[in-house]
Amino acid sequence: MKTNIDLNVLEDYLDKKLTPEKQLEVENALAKDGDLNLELKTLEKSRNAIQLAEWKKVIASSQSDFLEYRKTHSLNTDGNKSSIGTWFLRIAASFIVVLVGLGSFLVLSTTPENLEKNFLSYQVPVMRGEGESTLSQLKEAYSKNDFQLVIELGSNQQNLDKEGLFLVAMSNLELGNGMEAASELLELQNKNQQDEVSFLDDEIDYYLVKAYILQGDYSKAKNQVDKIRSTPNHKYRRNVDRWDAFKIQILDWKN
Amino acid sequence: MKVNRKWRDDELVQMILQKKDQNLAISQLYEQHYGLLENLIIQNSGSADDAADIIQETMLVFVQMVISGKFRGESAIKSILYSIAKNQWISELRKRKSSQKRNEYFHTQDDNDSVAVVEAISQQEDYNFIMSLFERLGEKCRKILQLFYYEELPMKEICEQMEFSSEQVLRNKKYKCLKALNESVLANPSIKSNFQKALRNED
Repeated sequence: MKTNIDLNVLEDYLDKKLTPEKQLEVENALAKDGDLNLELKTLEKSRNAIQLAEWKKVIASSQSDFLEYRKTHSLNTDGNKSSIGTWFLRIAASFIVVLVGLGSFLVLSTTPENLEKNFLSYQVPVMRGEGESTLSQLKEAYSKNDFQLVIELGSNQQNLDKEGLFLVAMSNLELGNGMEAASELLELQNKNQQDEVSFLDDEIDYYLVKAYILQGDYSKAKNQVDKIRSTPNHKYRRNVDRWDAFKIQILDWKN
Repeated sequence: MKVNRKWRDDELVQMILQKKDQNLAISQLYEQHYGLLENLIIQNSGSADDAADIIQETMLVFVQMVISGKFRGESAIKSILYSIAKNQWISELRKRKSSQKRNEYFHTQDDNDSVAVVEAISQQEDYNFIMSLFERLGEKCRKILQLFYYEELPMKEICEQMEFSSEQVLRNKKYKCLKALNESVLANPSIKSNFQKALRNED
């Protein structure tokens, strides 16, 4: 250095600690002396490098900690791609939880009683001028919800016609006698097949579902639902849907 | 390592500048940006180990830009880190003379790289050399300079900590250490030439 400006002065100059007079003296010297400029530049760089040497240790330590943490916590290594993967997994996991919850709710809440409630009760058509025949007595008792009387009247009749048999079956259904109702409905179905007539065929299909549910025979009940749903012009096609079939399936699994 | 609190970019810059909880600041940068930077390297012919090396150097260049006032938060830290890492990786590919890989990468890079980033990377090479000279100083010299310039401890405290007989003795020692470092820097023609070029550009 050609001047009396040493390293300490240059340091004070960088730190702006010089008096205005000394500051001016240094600036004048810097304007004339290329070596002094180089000295100043080197000092500035060296001071930064000393700091960076320490920062390098901090960074190396942070990187080491980060990689170790990532390794032990199975963090993502693929940046954004992995983040998307993580989110996808989270959404999928949430979806599964919701599905499991919904499934559990369905299994717990699906009972034969709930299904039976959905069935329409058979309404006997009101006909005038039927007199005092057994059929009219059956109809009257049925319309008054006296189902026990319907069953008794039916059992006392030797040759009960199809309509009477159907009312007896409906009464058994209303009283929860699934087995009897199913038996009577199937008997009626057989008679129709033998006679090659269609008498209350759709009703028989529909109420057989309820009869089977009452019996706890969910497999047959589901088959019956499938039969109704697969018949385009079935009268009760709109009364049973996939949801009903699914619920019956759940009952079958639970059974 | 898990940073619970998240600092904003400007807060992180201040933490680095003031060296306040700087470990936490760097940890947050790693947590937030390592995946992105690693992906950049791996998708451009690099390995996970390459990524680790480049990211470490990227962080150092970023800190250098902050402490030398070249980065004041004009853009997002994420963008600047990405730009540094990208340029570092291009430079590394050049060194490996893998022209095919280099060309593939050049086709994908955009042209809006910050001049400041390119300059900072270039300067980092000089800094790395000076840092290597610093490491060659005696242990006592390194300790004095580290406590004074990095820890920013007052002379009195350093004097007590390092058991110097007086502050003046410590000042003399520090002067000698710094002078030795400067002289070894200027003894390297390449660095000297770089500094001279930089001075000419400043005029």
